[in-house]
Amino acid sequence: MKVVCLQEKLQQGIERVERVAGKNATLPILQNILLETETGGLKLTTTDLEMGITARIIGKVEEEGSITVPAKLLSSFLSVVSRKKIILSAKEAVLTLKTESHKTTILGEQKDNFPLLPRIKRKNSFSLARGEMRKGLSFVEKASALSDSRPELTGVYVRYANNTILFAATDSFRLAEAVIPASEAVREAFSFILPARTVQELIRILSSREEGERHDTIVCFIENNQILFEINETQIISRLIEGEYPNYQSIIPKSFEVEVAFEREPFLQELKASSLFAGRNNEIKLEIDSENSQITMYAENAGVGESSSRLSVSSLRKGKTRTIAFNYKYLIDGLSDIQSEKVLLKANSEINPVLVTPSPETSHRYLVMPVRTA
Amino acid sequence: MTKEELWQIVLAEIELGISKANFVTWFRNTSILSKKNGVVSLGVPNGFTKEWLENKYNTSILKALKHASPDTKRVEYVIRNAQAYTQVRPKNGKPQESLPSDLVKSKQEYQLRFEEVKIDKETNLNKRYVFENFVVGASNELAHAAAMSIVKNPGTSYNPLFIYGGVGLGKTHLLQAIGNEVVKRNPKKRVSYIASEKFTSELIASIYNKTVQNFKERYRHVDVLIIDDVQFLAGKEKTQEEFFHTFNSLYEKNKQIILSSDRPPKSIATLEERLRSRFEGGMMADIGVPDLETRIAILKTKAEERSFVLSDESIEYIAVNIQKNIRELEGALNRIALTKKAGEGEIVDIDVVKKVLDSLLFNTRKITSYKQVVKAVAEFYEINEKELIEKNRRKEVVHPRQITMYLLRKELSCSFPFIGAKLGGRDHTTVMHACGKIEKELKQNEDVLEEIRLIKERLQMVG
Repeated sequence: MKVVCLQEKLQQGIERVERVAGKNATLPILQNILLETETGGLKLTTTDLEMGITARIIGKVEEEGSITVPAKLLSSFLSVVSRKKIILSAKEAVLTLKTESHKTTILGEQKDNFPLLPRIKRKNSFSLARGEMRKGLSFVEKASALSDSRPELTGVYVRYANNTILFAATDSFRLAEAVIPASEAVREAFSFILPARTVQELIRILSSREEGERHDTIVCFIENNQILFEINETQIISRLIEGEYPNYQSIIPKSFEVEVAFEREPFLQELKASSLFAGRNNEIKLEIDSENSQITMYAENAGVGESSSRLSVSSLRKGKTRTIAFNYKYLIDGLSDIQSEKVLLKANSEINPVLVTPSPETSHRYLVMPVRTA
Repeated sequence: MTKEELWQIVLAEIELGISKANFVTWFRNTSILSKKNGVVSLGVPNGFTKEWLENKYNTSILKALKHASPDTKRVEYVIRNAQAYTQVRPKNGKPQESLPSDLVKSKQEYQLRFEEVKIDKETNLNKRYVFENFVVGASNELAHAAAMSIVKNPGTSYNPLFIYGGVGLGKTHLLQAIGNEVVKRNPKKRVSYIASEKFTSELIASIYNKTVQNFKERYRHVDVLIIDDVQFLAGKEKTQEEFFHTFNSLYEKNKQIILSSDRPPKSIATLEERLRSRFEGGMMADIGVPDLETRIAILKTKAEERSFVLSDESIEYIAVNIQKNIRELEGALNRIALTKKAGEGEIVDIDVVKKVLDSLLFNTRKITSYKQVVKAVAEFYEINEKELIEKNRRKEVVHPRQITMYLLRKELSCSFPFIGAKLGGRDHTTVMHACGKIEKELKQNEDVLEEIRLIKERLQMVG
């Protein structure tokens, strides 16, 4: 193999794919990036057997071929090379990199031992605007479950019906949901569950823009419990999580006894301050006094201290004063992901879920279950 | 030899020929899904494994399979997420299974979870509603008996069964219990439960989408059709017509129909005569308000379900104060369950129960007329209603009068002049003074608090 390319392009390509390499520790070759020549350039691939990412870069191919080399090493090396042009050549299991002043060889492995990426028929496809997909996924991603006792909750639920796409994630303590408009309507609704890691990589890739990228749409193909995403020169293939996603719509209360609105940033700051004094269970209490348009935040930790702060809110629906306790982490997560200046908080009793949305309301919703007050 | 045994033998042979890392990577979470006519269907956890095994290991796998089971002809690879898996033990290492991991268990005791409703998609029945947790009392034993009879012989004894009764008395529970029991005894029976509003909206949607045929198929080919709250069919001609045809179609085939409503058929206005006569033509059973004993029994059952203990005194207290509605009994229990301290199994103190109920009853009840308030106060203090209104300054009368003024202000939100006028043409400032005084006393004097609470109880019993 022999190919000439620009250091900058090569580095960008590696950045796209490198995070997936090395996640699966069982097979050593999974730590490597597969470099393969193709018409007009070089293809870079990594996988952890649950997900695989491929990036393509432009280059001048002088001799076809392929090789796999440790991703970390290649990436670290390239980041300190400042020459523009790099010549990559490989013979059997050795990769040689030449620049104006450098000659470096890296020992790797031949392509034969590198896993094959599943092929997906490009039949059932749908496309999304890159920005919309990123927004939807990043809003809900944190809420998915860490424990895999219920595998279907460890991912993000995506449902495409009519002309909207719904993203949702929950770990049964809090739930995040975002609905975005689709570019085209679909006759028959379909849904799938994306593993959390795949979502994280997707968000990362959708957020980084490369020079010269033409398209702003991501195209998706589904077959056989696998999904393929394509955006510009990057492809991500991933397994889908099998199973029924719970019908969470019934969990969201239809009405609320009390509704208040407040500025998000100040509230978030107070939360963070209070969290330093949160006791066991990360508990902080919110006393919602809609009659007097204020919320009082309490936190106390026997060995550390206590904190109490008062914030003024506007009451859109008044009800009795109530004190609801929460795990502050869930509140901070939700409030950080909502990007608006003002936020709405709707509550019922201290044992019912609380709904947080941007104000004015959009299709982003965040539902949190309280903590039992001892 | 079972599929599992066969696969273990094959794995043992394959392990000998490849590296530990490869073995664990590619053969973890694989299992034989089926073996038919010499074709082995092998479940693999993802597309990568499928590609790899198909391309690199197919020969070895086939060879090993043939050794263990000579009639094997070929292998198919199917992607199946790791639900049934084989433990893959490398020779000298630890087992590499994936076990569910429950992080931070202790934190989760306090953190509440969303309450998910477990509904069967086919039948639309909620598995929570069964006969085992349906408390039978005088108020519902007829309906219960009819329901049990239907379970034994769907379609033959009481058809249709029409159950009616007020809100929150257990109609839906009974209806769904019948459905769940029928399915349990005979899984092949097709049962369908639907609320009448959903029936209506599905019908409308099917007309709009031109899938009416599907709709008819859906509801005319069941063995048991349960429709909840049929009073909502009132005034909906198209729905009633469709329902009429569905009814006939099922009835003619001796398929069981069960209906519920908040009132008997004759009291559903704008119900087509032909439907009314059909509803009345079967078995009608009402579910009434449960009596005290039944309420106590219900509370005991539900407290047990939630695994906490209430003293008999507490249970009686709740049963006496919440009389009309089983859902409210549940609500009270839920509240109490969450305010009790973290020591499980403790008997909940009657004072805690009283406090919880106070805040509940405060919200739920509606006290309607000022006359009722006056009457209740008079009864409570055992004085004449007239005395409350007259110009009388005896302190035995003044205190009750002030209490009356306070209640009228707080409970009915009456204006001060109104209260003054109704209580003997008094000046509104007198009323203001009274309310302020009582408010103050409430904070200082437990007895006054208790008096007010007892009077409010009386008011609820009247209403």
